[in-house]
Amino acid sequence: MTSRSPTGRALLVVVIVLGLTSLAVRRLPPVVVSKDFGLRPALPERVGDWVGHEILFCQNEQCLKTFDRDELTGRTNCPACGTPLDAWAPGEKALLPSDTRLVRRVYRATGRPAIQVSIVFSGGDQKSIHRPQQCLRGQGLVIEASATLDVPLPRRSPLPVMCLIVRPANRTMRELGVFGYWFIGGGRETPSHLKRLAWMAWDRLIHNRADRWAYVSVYIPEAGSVEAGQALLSGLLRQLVPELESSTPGSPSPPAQPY
Amino acid sequence: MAAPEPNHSLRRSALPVLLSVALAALVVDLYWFHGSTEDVEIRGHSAIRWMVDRWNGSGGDLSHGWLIPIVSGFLVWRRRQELARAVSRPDWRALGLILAAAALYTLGVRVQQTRLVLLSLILLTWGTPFLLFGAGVARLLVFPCAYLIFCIPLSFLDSLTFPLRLMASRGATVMLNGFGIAAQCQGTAIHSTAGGGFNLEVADPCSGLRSILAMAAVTALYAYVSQRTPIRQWLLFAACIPLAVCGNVVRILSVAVVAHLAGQDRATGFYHDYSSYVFFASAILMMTGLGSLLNRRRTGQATL
Repeated sequence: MTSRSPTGRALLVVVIVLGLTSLAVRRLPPVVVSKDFGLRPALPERVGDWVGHEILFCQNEQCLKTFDRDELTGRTNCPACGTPLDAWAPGEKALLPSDTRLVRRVYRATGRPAIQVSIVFSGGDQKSIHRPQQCLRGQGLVIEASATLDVPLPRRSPLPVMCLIVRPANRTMRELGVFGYWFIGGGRETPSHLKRLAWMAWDRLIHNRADRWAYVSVYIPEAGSVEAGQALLSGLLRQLVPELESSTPGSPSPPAQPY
Repeated sequence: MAAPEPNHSLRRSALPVLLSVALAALVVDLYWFHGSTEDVEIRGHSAIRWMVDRWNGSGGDLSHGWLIPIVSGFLVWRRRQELARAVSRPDWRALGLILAAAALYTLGVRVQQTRLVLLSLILLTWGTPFLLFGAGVARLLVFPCAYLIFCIPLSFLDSLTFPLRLMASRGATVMLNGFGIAAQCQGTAIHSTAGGGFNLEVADPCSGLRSILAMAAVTALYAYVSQRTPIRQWLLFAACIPLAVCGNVVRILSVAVVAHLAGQDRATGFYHDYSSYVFFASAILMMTGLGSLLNRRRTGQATL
């Protein structure tokens, strides 16, 4: 086999194709990470009757206690073990890229179950946001059913929310929980993980742009029943979403288009 | 005039070596140093490391990934003489495959989908010998190269976990009642209806999902080596999911029977930890049985 033999020429062609691929990947314009968030990167302290409490996590892997920031009266260390507290759970910190941003509050109102709301804002890496089904299993929750719920909102089209019926895997008491989520970014919103991935891929490939997608999740751990949980979820979102969609409190921005 | 001959012959023998080294270097550059743009902070740029990290993680669900390249390599080695005989002139149709692999690679890197990058590596692994040595070699390499697909982590299949758990617990309950052990299925839990009996929960790791991926790899290999026609190979391969589900039902059934006979603690402790052997033994028995049945039908048809 020489470079002039047919096999040599074929080998040369493969080397040229791979060499050009290597060059092309290096020469393509870099993907620009958008500075804009799809939503306001903060959760309001109050949503109607609901009062939002920030949650802090002990960073000691052996302790892992959580606290309401209000209860700590300025303390920044865990009252149980003295380790510093953080808004991120240690597992989340280890798993997610450093440019990921997260906001989280637990909303409480008298006579109603607590509702945990969190928003994860992706960074340049699509890994910042992954399918909720993965973390829910990691948190010991079992997903028993899923369906899309259209939540009616004032002055815009209904918001499609993926609604999961969950319960803890290792308990004899079968507390039923409702977990709702959707994604918003680049002027689009969808409850579908696959659609989000497709849009992100399209923007990266065609527009050299990576939008900072937001993954909004609402979890009612003790919903009582599916109907009661979905009603609570819809009720909170009707008041919360218009606030999140406004760039500054009280000035609504154009809502994203559902896909 | 005789002097230039050795130089010319040296150049002739050195060039293919140089081109082969360049090809290997480019593959390492593309797939090890620039193959992944996903999760770079934690896993770096290597698509291979991205894949191996998943084999080692995911609760052991993908640990069979380590065996796949070895099996694939063995299959190539097994047919080495046929491969040597099949070598012919380059087949330029395969250039399309090389270009497709390059495009898939670029797409995967650009859109942060390392699975596409790994798929492009498999395409390149098949396309290069196809181009260099012709269609005969490519035909012999179809299965060993396609088998490498089992290396690619398909962790998104975990959405099947809950339906599989339901299926396994229902199937095991029906069989328990058939054996005269009264039991009830509630969701993914199996309760003995006899007083003081067992209560078992079919949890996520017991869904059989990890077994499905491993069984798919085992069945594909067995179908390839045991069945003579592609139709029968595909038929046997298509049976891998029912086989894995049935194997898991047998495993859960055996845990329940041990709980019934020897108590729940023994069943969910020591026995449960080693019950995966029951799964593989029963699933592989069913697989070989089905394989023999398919072969027998072939022989019967030949006689007719």
